[in-house]
Amino acid sequence: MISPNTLVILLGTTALGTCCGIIGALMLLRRRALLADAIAHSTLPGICIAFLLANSRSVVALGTGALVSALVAAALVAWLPRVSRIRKDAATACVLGVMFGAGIALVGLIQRSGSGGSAAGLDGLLLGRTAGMLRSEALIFGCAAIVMSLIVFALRKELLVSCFDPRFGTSSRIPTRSIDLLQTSLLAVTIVIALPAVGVVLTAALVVIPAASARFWTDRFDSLLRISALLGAGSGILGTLISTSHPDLPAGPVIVLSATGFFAVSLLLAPRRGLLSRHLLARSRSRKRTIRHLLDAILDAQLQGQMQIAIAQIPESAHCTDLRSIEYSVQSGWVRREGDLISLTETGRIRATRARKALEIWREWLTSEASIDRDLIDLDEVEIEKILSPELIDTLQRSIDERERS
Amino acid sequence: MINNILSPVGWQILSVAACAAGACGILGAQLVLRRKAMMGDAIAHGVLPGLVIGFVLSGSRDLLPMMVGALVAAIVVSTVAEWLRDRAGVDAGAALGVVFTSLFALGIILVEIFARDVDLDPGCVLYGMVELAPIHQVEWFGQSLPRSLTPVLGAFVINIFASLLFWKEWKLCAFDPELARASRLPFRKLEQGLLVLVAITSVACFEAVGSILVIAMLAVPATIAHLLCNRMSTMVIVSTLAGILSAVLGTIGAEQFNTGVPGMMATSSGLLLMGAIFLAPSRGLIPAASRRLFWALRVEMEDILAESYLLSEGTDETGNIDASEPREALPPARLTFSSMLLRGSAGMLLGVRGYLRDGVPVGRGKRIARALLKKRGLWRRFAAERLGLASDHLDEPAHRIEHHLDDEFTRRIESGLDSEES
Repeated sequence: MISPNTLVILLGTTALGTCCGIIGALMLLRRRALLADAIAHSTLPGICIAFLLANSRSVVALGTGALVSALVAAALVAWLPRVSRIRKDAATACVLGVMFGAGIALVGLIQRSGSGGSAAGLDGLLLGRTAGMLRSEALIFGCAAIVMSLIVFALRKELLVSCFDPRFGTSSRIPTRSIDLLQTSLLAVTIVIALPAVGVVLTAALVVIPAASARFWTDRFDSLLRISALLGAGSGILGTLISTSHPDLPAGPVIVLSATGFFAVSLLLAPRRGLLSRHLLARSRSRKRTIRHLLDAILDAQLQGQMQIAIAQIPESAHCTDLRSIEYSVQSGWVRREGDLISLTETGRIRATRARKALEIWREWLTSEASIDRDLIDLDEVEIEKILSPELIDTLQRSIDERERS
Repeated sequence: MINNILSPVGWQILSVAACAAGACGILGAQLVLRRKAMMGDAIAHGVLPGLVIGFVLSGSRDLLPMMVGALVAAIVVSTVAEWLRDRAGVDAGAALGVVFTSLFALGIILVEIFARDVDLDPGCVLYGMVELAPIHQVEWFGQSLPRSLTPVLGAFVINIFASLLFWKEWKLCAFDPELARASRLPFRKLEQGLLVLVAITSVACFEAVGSILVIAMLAVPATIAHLLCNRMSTMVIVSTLAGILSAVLGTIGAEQFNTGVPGMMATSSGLLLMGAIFLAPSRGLIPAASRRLFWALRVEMEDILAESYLLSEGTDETGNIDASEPREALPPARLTFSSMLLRGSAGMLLGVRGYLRDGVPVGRGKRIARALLKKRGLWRRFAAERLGLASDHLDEPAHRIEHHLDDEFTRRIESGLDSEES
């Protein structure tokens, strides 16, 4: 069974995933996903300076240093595009490159200036060591997750406004700038806490991936936060379980790859946005279009006096000589089939007439009222008879009639 | 580590670093123009699994298999990220983030599984070993050169040639991608080719200078150039030079502070960037601020001269402005500390220059005041006659615009007004 040690790690990574998931969702909505990467890299010089000043590896000193330099980095990324023509992406990349480079230079300085022995662990921050998580660290993660959830829950309305419509926020006296600052600070704190456990790049991964996966499942703010937190926690749990059963796999990367796995699942299976459901939707659309063409072609024949039409007689241009859609229409009770001859049933006739009338009226209205060129209208793409309700069709008919009278 | 930058060893380190920085600088300009600056970071991280797989499959530390693996990984990064953005509707930054962090995680796991016993630690990829460059030497045209110079020099040369070859196409792709697509250029292939070059460059530079440096050198010199230049040609050149300059400064700095070259190169490029932000001639913060300050001083000085001229003469002899005529009250200027300071220093400057004596403009000061009043009157007439403004709307805009009318424009207004009268 699960040993106490594993349990500690499990709780820690779960809490960590939750934290990163929540803040990641906020960052994703503000299109600042890569800020996490820049901030995580930029903690290094702060850590080194704190080490040089305090001359110890105490968690408090190094954590403070990391936090300060994370905030400096975030401020620079926000400040550079405001005062110069540097764009957001270039600012992020520059801050990341320069601060991380400065950190590496400082690490080199510390290692070569004699006091190096105890500094050997500093670059361990790059990759982190989840397996060595202490009980106290797990406790910190848990507290951070609870505090962050409470803050985000308490301020969810303000956060929502500042994510989607900061101008409206300013006009309705919501301190969007402070909210902004709060978000960035939460991100910085999360990253600083997470660094020793999962390392620089993987912290960024935990912020970005669960949020991006959660976006597939929902369009609502609250549920985005909730799903993202859940996916973060889920990746923490799954990754930890896998890495404890395969001791030679490092936990941090495995957690990230679990998050990637969740991302892949979301990409494929999510309703509406997932690849599978998009594919199905496209197929059902094209099926419906074909059937409409088919019914229309038979209706044409009927209007010309033929009650039945042979499949081979349907003109090629109608794009509907697809046996499967004929089969489908027969099953749905719109078309009667006798050998090679097909004809419309009563429901099929009503359906076809209605579709044709709606289409004609819509086309008429577009050209006459909205004055759109007839050739530019691709009416195939819309299921117009579903969009236009019978009342709307009447209204349009009236407006066209009035126009013709005048 | 480096005892003297002028020693042969120092030169060799410098040449490797400078070639790497130059190679990155050229491509960085293209990336920054396309708002893809983070691509460098993504590729630098994302190639790790490719490196490892190349290493494992070939079983050696030869550059070629690792290079091929890294290339494949880099292409995977860019294609998958673009696909996620375009086809799956993921936010562009997040798409890049998902792909490269996942690949990096995969890379670390592969290192742990396959390459544990050999010296392919991630640290080596991160920091690079530019200081060790002089240890492995190769013979080239009878000269003994550091082995790691070959890939970086190669990347540098390839990038120069590619830039010259695809100059027009890349320019179009960078500034007007829609037109590039519409004009039947192989847009996707060109952009992919650029990213392949970025990948080749990063891999060539990894061994020599490490991935941190690639990230910094792809982004920072190009951003410096973007601040300084308005043309793509100058931007590419300045970006390359800024990269090489950071290499020189970084090597010297590393010697001074006894630390690694790549880190110091990134740091010095950051200092150069800060310098560009503050001091760039047209866009720098300090030049822009001082231009605004000088302008404000000029305006203040002209205002003081005109006011005191009106007070001392009672009327303006050009006849345009009559001080006795009741004028609409201008909105009182807000008395802030800075406005008082500005007025004080403007007054002092006038005194020092001798334009104003005992509250009366003299000499050049008098001429300036007259010219200003003439412009004010002209504008008032112009606004009243040509623009049809109401008489209570004439003073305030005239007060503001009088400072901006140069001689040529004044003449044109004058002749325009005269021709109307005749």
